[in-house]
Amino acid sequence: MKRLPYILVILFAIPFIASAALPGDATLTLNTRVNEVFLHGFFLLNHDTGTLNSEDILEKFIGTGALDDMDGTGEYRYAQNEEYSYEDYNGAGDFDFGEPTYEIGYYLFLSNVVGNYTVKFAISPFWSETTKYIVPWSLKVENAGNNTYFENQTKILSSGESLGFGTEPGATTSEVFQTGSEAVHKYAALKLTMLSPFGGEGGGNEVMVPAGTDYIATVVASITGP
Amino acid sequence: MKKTVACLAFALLIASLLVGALPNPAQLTLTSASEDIILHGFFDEPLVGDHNIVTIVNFFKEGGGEEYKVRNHTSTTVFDEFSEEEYVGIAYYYFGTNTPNIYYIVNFSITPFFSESASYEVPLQLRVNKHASSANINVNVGTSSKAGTLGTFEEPSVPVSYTAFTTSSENIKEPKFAALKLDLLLNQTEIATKGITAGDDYVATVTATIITN
Repeated sequence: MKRLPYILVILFAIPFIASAALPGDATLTLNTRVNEVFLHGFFLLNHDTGTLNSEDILEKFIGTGALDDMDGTGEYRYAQNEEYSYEDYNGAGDFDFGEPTYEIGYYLFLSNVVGNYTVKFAISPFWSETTKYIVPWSLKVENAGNNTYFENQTKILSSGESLGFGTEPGATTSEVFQTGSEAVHKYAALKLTMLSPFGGEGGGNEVMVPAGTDYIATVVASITGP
Repeated sequence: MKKTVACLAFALLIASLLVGALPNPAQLTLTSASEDIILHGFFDEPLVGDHNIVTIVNFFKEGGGEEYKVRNHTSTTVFDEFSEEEYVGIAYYYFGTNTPNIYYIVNFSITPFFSESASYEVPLQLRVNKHASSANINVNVGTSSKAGTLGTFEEPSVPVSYTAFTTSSENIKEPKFAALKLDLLLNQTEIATKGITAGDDYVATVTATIITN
């Protein structure tokens, strides 16, 4: 009976002896970063197979080499510029007559950056340095992706100005969409169609534009945000 | 004060970094051209309705499809029947162009009526009038010289030339168009005196030629 205290002491001591014999927990910390990617721009592409999703959009940018220089560090920004010519795509060849609409391509937007961003288009009318003649036009913007920013929307954006002779005109800026500030990747695919200022052949607004080979208009997409 | 300036500089620095976080604007450039279009030619019937550069171009298109864009297109009309009238309406002539800063002269070359079978010539004199309004054109309203002489000849006389109109200036960017009515003058007194030898192959031509400076 006298041994009982010793037995109790040993029983209490065993757990402490065992724990002291093992090392503490090992922790592996994985540290990485997700680069901020912010891509947008114009594409003269045809896409006849449904809506464009975020992977489609990314592929379009990859196809341009937009991500070739991405080195895994820092942020990544890209703006895709394009040039569209009537003659190349519609064969109309001139302003005077032709089709009432011209399918230009798409504006694509892809970002994983948190924040609410606003995309605006500044549209200038056609103008010839040679003839000093202004041809206003309109751009139809439609949702071509499964993005929600532009769902069930169609916007007609005007270049402003009046048909006729004048000095080099400025651009008219219009808001196209806002992304919302949710912390999800954001993307948008918008189909762009030029509306002929003359309504096409037989459209009732036919005008004989002074001959010139240097009629140029621009659409500048700019992004503002936090 | 120094603290304020430092805070302001810091705020500007942050602002510039934030602006830099957005991609550059993307630009879509649209280019196009308005082709040179020069149309002219003779028509048996006049354009009905408004006369302007578009209706005149459409008038040509209706008759020629895509050929309406052919530069310096020339057509001729043949007058093959004499009349007892002093003035005989023979055709309408239309001109339209969108070419800027080019000075045009349009001449009519007029040959007399001549019959190969009868070896007989009937002179042709042309009267030019405005048929409708024109734009940036000075029409030479009047009567041409007489081409040919009434009588028997082995060969037809040489043509005469008449400047029908010019553009009003070299420095005009706006479209230019003209609509003319052409009448044939027949000297009925002379015809009554000398007569016209029978023949079914009398042919005369009026050829419009566009000249640029």
